[in-house]
Amino acid sequence: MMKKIIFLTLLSLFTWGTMTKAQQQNDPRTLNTRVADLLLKLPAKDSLQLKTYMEEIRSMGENGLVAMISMLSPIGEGDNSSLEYAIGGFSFYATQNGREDWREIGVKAYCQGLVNLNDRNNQAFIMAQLEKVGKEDAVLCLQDFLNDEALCDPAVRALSNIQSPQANEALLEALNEVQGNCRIPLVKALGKSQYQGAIAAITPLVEDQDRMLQKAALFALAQIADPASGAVLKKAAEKTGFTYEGTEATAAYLTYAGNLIKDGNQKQAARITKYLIKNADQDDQIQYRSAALNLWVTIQGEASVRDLMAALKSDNKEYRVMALNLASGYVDSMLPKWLKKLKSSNAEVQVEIIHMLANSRAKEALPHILKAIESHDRRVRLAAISAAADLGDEQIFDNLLFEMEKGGKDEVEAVKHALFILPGNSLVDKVAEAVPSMPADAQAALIAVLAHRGAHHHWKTVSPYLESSDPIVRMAAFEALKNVTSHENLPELFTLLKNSTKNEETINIQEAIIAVLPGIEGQSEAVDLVLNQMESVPSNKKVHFYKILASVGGRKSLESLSTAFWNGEGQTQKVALDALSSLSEHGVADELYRIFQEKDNEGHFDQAFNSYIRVISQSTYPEAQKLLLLRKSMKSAKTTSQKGQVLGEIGKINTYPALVFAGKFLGDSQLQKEAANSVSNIALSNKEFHGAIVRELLEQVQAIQGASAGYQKEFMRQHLDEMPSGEGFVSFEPFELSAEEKEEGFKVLFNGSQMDHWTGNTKGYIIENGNLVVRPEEGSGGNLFTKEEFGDFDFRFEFRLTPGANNGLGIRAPLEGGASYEGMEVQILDNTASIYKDLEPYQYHGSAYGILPAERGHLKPVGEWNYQEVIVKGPKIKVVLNGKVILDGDLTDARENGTMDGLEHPGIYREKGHIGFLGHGSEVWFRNIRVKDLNR
Amino acid sequence: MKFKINDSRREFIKKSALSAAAFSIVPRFVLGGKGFLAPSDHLTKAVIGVGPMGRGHFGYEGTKVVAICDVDRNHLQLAAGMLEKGVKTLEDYRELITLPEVDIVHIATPPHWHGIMAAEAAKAGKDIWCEKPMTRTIGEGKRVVEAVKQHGRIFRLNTWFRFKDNFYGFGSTVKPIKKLVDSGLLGWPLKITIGKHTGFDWAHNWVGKDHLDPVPVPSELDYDSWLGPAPYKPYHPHRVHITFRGYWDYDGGKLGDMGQHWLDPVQYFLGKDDTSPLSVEVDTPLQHTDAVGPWRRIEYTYADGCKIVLDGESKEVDAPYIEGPKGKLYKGFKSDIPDLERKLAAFPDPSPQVTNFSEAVKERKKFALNEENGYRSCTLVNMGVIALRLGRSLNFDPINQEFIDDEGANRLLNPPMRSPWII
Repeated sequence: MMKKIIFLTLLSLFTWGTMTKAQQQNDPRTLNTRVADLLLKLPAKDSLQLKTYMEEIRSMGENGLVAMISMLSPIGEGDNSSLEYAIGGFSFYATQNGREDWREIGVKAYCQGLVNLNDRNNQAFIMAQLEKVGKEDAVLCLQDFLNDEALCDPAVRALSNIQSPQANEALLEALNEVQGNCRIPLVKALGKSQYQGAIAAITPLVEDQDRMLQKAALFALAQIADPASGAVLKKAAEKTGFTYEGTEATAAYLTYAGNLIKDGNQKQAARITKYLIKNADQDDQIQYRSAALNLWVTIQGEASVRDLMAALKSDNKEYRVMALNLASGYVDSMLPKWLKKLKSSNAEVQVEIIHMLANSRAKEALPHILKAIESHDRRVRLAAISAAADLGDEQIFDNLLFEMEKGGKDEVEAVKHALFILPGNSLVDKVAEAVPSMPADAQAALIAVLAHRGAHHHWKTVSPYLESSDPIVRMAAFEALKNVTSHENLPELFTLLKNSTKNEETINIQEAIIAVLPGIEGQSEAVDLVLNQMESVPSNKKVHFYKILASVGGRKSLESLSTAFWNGEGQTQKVALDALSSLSEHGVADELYRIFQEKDNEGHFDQAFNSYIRVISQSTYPEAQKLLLLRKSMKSAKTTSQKGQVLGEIGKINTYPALVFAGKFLGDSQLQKEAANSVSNIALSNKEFHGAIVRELLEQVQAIQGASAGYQKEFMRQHLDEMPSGEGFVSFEPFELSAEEKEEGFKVLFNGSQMDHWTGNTKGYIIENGNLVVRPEEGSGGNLFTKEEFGDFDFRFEFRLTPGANNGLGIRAPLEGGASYEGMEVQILDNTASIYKDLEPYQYHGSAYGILPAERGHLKPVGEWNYQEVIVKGPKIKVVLNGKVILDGDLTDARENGTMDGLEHPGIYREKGHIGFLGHGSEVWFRNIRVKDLNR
Repeated sequence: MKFKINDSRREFIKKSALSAAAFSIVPRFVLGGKGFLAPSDHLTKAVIGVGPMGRGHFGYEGTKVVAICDVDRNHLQLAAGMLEKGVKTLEDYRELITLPEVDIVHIATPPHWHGIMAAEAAKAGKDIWCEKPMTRTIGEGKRVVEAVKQHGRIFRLNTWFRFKDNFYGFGSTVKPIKKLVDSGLLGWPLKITIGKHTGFDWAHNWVGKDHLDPVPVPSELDYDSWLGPAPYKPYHPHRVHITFRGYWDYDGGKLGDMGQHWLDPVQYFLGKDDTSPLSVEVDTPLQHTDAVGPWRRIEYTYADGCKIVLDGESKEVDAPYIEGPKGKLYKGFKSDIPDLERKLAAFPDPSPQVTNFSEAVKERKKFALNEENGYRSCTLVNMGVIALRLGRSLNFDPINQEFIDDEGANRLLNPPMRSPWII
C-alpha cells in the first residue's frame, strides 16, 4: 500500500510540474478530474463516442493510464468496472493498424502498473492487456513474474503472443531456473514459438513425473520438430502401445511427422508413417493408423493410391472409409483403377467405393455406377441409385426406369427420391410418358414425382388414374391433383368435386381447387365462380365448398359462410364454423364472437371461442385493440384452460395496460401460472416499464415461479436487480412555496412543469413527472442557468443522484466560459463512487470546487432525494445538506493567497452572476427549486 | 497401458462391414442385456457435462449412456438418478474418453471446453457429438477440424435447423428455402436479415455483470476444473451454471448461445459451407473486457456480395426475410413473386443430407452438420464476437482464416490457454 500512496503523490507533483500553460488554459482540470470525468462517461455507446473517449485517454498519455491502474481496487473491495472499460477498451483500440504509438503508451503504462499493483487478480488483468498489446517492449517487465507460481501462467500467455527472439530467451532462461507448475506454461510457449534453442531443456521433461508436463513437453518437441527428437518421441509413443492415454504421446509423434513434412523432411516422415501404419494396426489403435495413412498420402501423393487400394482389404470399416476419403482427391486421374477395384470388391466395399465416387463428384464414373444399379446385391443397388442421382441428370432416366420396373419396393422408393433431385427441364415429360407402361407401384411413384416436380400441365396424364382400380395408383393420382393442375382445369375439378363420394378424395379435390384458384384474376371473380358452382349442387354437397370459400376470402365469402352457419345444423354448422375459423377477412372475429355469445350455439362454443382467440392473435390489429378484444373474451371464457389461453395471448402484447391486466390474475390460484408467464414476458421484453406497480407485480411473479429453475426465473431476478428504483409513472402536484418561504420572500424557479426562469441548454434538461432530469444522452447535459443574476442569495433545492453522478451548482457565473473558474461551482457528486476515491478534499460534494472543501458523509444513499440549501453572502458561502452544515467558508483567504488547487479562479472576485446546473454527462434529478434574493 | 477391446459393441462397429448380415439374425437372448436390443442398434455414449443441457440429451434414439462426467457433484448425482444403475460417474473427462466401451463422446460443457475435449476425443478414437457453439475460438475450431479429419472420426455439431424443424421464425423448414435459393428465382447475391422473431426475444438477456464481488466456491464444485483452459477469475455463481454465457472467457452471450442456430442454416442455404465472409461490421456499445453486453447490429459480407444481417435491436419488423435482386421471401414462405411455390416445384430438390447420427457412425458417413461446415458457421459466430469485443469492423481472409491488417483481432483467433491445458 505504501508504495502506491507514494506513487500517487509523485504522480500529482509530476503532473503539476509538467503541465504547460497552454494545457492549463485549454483544460484546467487536474489529471484525476479528467480521469474521473472520463470514467463516468464509459462505456461508450457507439463507435463515435468510443473514438472520443479513447482519444481522451491517449491525450492523458501514460500518466492517465497509470493513474487508472493505480485506482484498481483489490478484488472484492470496490467496483473496478469503469476502469476495466477504460483500460480494456484502450488496449483493444490501440491494436488498430497505424496506432503503434498508442500501443507503446499502453505497454509502458501497463509495465509501470504491474510494479505499482499488489493485488494478483489486478496484476493478471494487466497481463491480459499485455497479451493484447505487448511486443518486444513488454518482455522485460513480464519476465519478472515467470517464477511466481500464481502469475507465471498469465505472464507466459502474454509473452507467448510476442514471438520474438528476446521473448524466447526469456522463456528459456526461466525454464532452466524454475521448478514446479510454472514449467508447463513455459514449455507450451516455447513449443508454440518452435524455438530450437529450447530442445535441450525440454527433452528431459518428457520423462517427468507430472503427466501433464510430459504431454506439454512431447507436444512442444513435436512442434519444434527437430530431426533429432524422433527417437525420444518414438520411444514415448511405443511406451503407450499406440493407444490413447494421458500424455497423448502417439498423437505427438504424428504431429511431429506432420511438421517434418512441412519442413521438407519427407524421408524421415515417411519412415515414421510407415512404421505406425504397420504397428498400430489393432482396432483400438485405428485412429492413429488412420492419421498415419493420412500423412502417408500427403507425402506420396498420387503414388499412394495403390496403398489406399490395399487398405480396402482391411476388415476394419473405419480404416477402409478413411482410405477412401483420402482417395477422393485422386479419383479423376486414377478412375480406371477405381472402377476395376469397384468390380473386384465384395458388396460392402462396393457400397463404400460408390459413396466415395459420388462424394468426389466423379462424373466419369456414372456409366459404371449405372451398371452397378443392376447388381445382385440390394445394398449395392440402392447405393448406386443414390449416387447416380448425385452425378447424373435426366439422361439417366431410362436406367432408373428400368430399375423401377423390375426392382422391389425399396428400389421404387429410391428411384422416386432420385427423381426428386435429378436436374433437367424435360424430366417431367419423360416421366409422364413412362407412366402408362409401368407396374402399379411404379405408376404411383411416378405420379408422385410429377406432383413433386410441379407438372402443372399434366392433368391429362394423371386424370385417367383417378379412375384406376388399383387403390394405390388411384390415391397417388388424387394426392397429385393440386400439383398437376392449373386454373384452366377448374371445370374438371368442380365436376370431380360434385361427384366425389370418398372423404379423402374430396379433400384432395378441395385442395387442388384452392391451389389453382389464385390463377383467377380478382378475388370477387373467384368468389363468384365458387358461389355459382355451389348453387348448382344439391344442398347436401354444398358443404364441400365452404373450405374453398374460406381460402378465397372476401366479404361475400364471410356472409355466405355466416348464413350457412346460422341456417344450418349439425355437421353443416360444424363445417361452416371450421371454414369461418380459417377465413382471413376483416369482421370474422366479430362473427365468431356473435357465435359463441349466442346461447343456442353452446355446442360450438369451444371451437368458436378458440378460433376467435386465434384470429385475434394472428391479426394485424393495433395492440390496444387486441387487448380490448381479448379482455372482452375473458368475460365469456368458460374453462380455466380458455382463460389461460387468453392470458397467454395477452402476454404477447407489449403494452403497459396488458401487463397490468395480466397482473390482476396473479392472485387467482388457477390462473396464476399463466398470468405470471404473461407478466414476465411483457416485462422482460419491455424494460422501460418500471416503477412501483411493475415491481410489485414482478415480485409476485417471482414468488409464483418459486423453486422452479430455469432461464426465465434467472432473467426475472436480473431484471428486478437492474430495474431503476423510484416510483416510475406517477402524477405530480406542481411545487408551491410553504407559507414561511412565501412570507420570507422566496420565489419558485422550477415548479415541476415550467422552464421560463431558465436559459442555456433548456432542451438538455428534461421535465419528467415534475422533475428536472439531465442524462448523458446526446443533446442532453451542458449548463442550465437562471435568466436572472444573483449576488447574495439563499438557494434551496432537492436533488437525487445516480451511481457515479457528477453535476455542479454554478454560482455568480457568467453565461459564457467555464463556469467553475469564471464563476464558482458548488460540487454535486456521488462521493461514494469508487471512481472518485482518489479525489482531493476540495473536489467532493458541497465543496466550492477547488477552493473550499466541504464535510463528507451526509449524502443520502444514491437514488434517494437530498435537500440542500446554498447561502451566499459577500465572501461567505454556506452549504446545508439534509439539515447538516457541510460548508461554512469564506473566500477572503483564497482571494488574497490563492485557491487550494493552485489554479486561477477569476470567479471568486465576481460579485454576482447566474445560478445554474453544470452538467458533466451523468444522470442527476432536481426538483422543488426556489431562491431568495438577499440583495433586495 | 494397452487395453484389449473385448466389448462387442465397439468391435462390432469397427468390423460391421463384413458381418452385418450375420449379426442381424443373432437371436436377442444370445446377446442378452437389458432391452434386448442387438448391439447394432445401440451405440454407447458418454456425456461430459450433465447440467440441464447434458441431462436433456440422454435419450437420443439408438444410443445408450454408459458413462457421465461433471465437475459439479450435484449435477452428477442428479444425472445418475435419471440413468440405469451401472452407468459410470466420473469427475475427470480424461478418464471418460479413455473408456474402451464408449463409442460416442457427447460434449455438453460450456464452450470454452469444447475444443480441447473434441480434439482429445478424436485422438482417443471416439466419435463426437458436440453442443453449439462448436468452439469458443476460431483457432480451436481449426484444431478440431484437423483432429477429426486426421483420425477418421465422425462429428456432429448439435444444431439441426439446416435439416429439421422450422428455421427460426421463418415458419418453414430450410429445405424449401434452400431449393428456392438454388433455383435462382430470387436472383443473386442475397441478403438475409435475422431479427426479433429469430430467437432474439429471450436471448437478449444473455449479458454478464461487469462487477461481481467474489464468493466462496461451493464444496460440490471443482471450480478449477470448471475453468479449465479459461483464465482464472475469482468465483461467483453468476459466472458458472446457466449464466456463464454472459462472459467472454466461456462463451459470447446471445451470439454465442443462439448465433450458430441462426447462422448455420443461412450458411447452408447460401452454399457457403466451405468459406467465410470477407468482412464483419458491428454497431455496438463498448464491450466490457469480461462481461458480455448487448449490441445493436452485426453484418457479414461474403465475396460474392451475399450478406447476413443480425438485427440485435429488432428494428426490422419483417425479419427474418431474404432479399434478392429479383424478389423477397418473408416468413411463412410469403413472397413478392406471384405463385412462388408452384413455380418452385419444377426445380430439383436439394441433395439429401445424412441426418441420422447413428447411421453416420455405423456407416462412417459425414453427418449433415459436421466438423467442417460447423467450423465455418461457428467462425461466423466467432468473427462477430471478436468484432464486438474490439468494437470495430474487421476484414477477414476466408482462405487463411485470419483477419487482414488487424493484429488485435488476430490475437483473439487463438489466444493461449491457461496451463496445463493444450489443444
